[in-house]
Amino acid sequence: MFEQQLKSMQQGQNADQREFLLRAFVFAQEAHEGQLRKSGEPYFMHPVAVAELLWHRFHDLSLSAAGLLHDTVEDNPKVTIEQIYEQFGKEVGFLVDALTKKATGFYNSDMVIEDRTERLLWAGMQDIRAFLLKIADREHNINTLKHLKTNKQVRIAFETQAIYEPLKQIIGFYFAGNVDEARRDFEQYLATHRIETPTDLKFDLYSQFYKDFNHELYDLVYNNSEKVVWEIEDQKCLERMLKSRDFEEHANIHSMWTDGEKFYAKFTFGKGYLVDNQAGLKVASYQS
Amino acid sequence: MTSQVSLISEKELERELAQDIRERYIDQKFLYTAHEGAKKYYHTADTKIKKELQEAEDVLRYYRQYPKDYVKKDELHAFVSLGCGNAANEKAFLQKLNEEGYNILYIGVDISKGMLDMAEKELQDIKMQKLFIEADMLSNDFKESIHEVTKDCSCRIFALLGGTICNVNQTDIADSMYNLLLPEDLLWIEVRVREDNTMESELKFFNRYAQYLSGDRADFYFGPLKQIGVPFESGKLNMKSANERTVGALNFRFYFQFNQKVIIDLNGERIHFLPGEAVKLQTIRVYHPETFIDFFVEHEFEVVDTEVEETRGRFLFKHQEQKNERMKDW
Repeated sequence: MFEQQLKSMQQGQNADQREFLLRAFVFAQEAHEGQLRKSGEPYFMHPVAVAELLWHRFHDLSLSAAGLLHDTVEDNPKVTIEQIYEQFGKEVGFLVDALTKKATGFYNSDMVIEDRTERLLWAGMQDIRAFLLKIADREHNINTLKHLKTNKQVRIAFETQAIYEPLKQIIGFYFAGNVDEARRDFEQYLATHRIETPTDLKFDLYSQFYKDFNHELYDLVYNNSEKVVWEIEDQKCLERMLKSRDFEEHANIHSMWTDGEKFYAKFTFGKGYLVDNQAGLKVASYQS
Repeated sequence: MTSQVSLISEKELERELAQDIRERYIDQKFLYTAHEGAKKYYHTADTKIKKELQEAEDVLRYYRQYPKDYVKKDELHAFVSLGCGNAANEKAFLQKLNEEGYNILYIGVDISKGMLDMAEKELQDIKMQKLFIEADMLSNDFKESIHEVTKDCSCRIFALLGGTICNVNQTDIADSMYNLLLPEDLLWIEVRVREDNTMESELKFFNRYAQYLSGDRADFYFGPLKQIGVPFESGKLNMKSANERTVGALNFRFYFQFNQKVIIDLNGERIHFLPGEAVKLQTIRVYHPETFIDFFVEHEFEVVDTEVEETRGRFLFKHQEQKNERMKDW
């Protein structure tokens, strides 16, 4: 199964590269054997899809191998991060390490970052491919969100909107021709915005979409996403969103207000959904 | 053949308004009883359009919807228009029914003397028994009085036309109507309904009613506050929409919010309005027809007939049978 996708990634590569990808493919296939997605499909389809997307966009061998392996440590207790470093080298090891949520540190490193998002952001600041991998992973998961429990859907959508959507724009996920271009764009952005730490970067990212946000509020919303009542002040933007039936299916408007000049609507998400990038939401309150 | 009676005590109204002001809520009746409130209401854009329509499709629809099968032509029945306003809604179909020989006692009920004067004038050419009652239709005085004046009628049709029901407390009116109706009576309700339950349609109504925040309608809403001496420039009107799930209605609530401190003297008492405080002025409701019907069924009404056409819904109710039995015993 999925050999077709493997072949498509191996095309145009030399024998060593083909063998490297095959090893990663077999390793991941065995690690995920018998595991199913919430949709009922074999779990292995997900890493294959992520690796394939990364290969066709960036043609980077380590990145695609990491795409195949990115969930192995997290989902199989018999697989360790040491194994990944040892069998696939430092680059792949670091990328898989960056995406492994159960860790707070990194293999063979003193660095410890408790905040899961900041840990990934730090990794991406060391190697841009950690972002590319995470975004590809999230892109695929977002498309299959409906199979998850609603509170998880809403939480994942919030995190995506807050962190990964702006990050995707900064590094030009769909426009950068290769990894180096994405790295250049990102470094230039950090310099222009004087961002030096993952904490600064996190603040910068979620502030692009959410109004009046700080780290404490981010954590509160992350842990209670389905209870948050959101406020949008841009009526035209709301009208645009309502024209898409998708928004109707995923959100519930609680109230709207106007004094003839200013406007706001308050709503909750019933399911996971990414809204218009211009929406500029802020937290109005929480519902029990 | 025509008379006008009042069940209103000016003193009582004054006291009620003062109490409302203290609670930052103005019962919608005061919009009409305020200085020239009735006239202002009929100056608003919506009602001007409505007036034009009345001479065409509205008239035909009301005539077609009148529960003619339910009444005997030769027996006297009462048509009680609750919140009759200027009676423009009923003028043409009453004329037509009168010409066809229906024996009707018309009773126009409104809280506003100004409205009743307009209604009396509007219906002056129709040759039938007419009574105009200045009253709060939810009061016990009205209930007692209406039973007395309609005691010779074979049945009574209580009508809340033109969306009159949409501005008042829904549980209160449902209970009041239940307690008012006798087993042989009908309740005819006309409301604005939603074509669908989408957020897009909600926003459409929101934009429509947001227009009430300026122009003639704003002047109408501000009437009671102006009457007690609040300067218009001391604040701003705003509107908030919300869902009222029990009755399946989208609510559009109008408020006057102060942006500066105002002190007024009301019946010898000083009232302080601080910046940020809001006085609730009116609620307009747009209904989901099925939930609206369920709401009345839960209040022990039986559905006699319904008709939903675009954004207008007409519903005919009577007491449920079980209630009829109880009423007979009573």
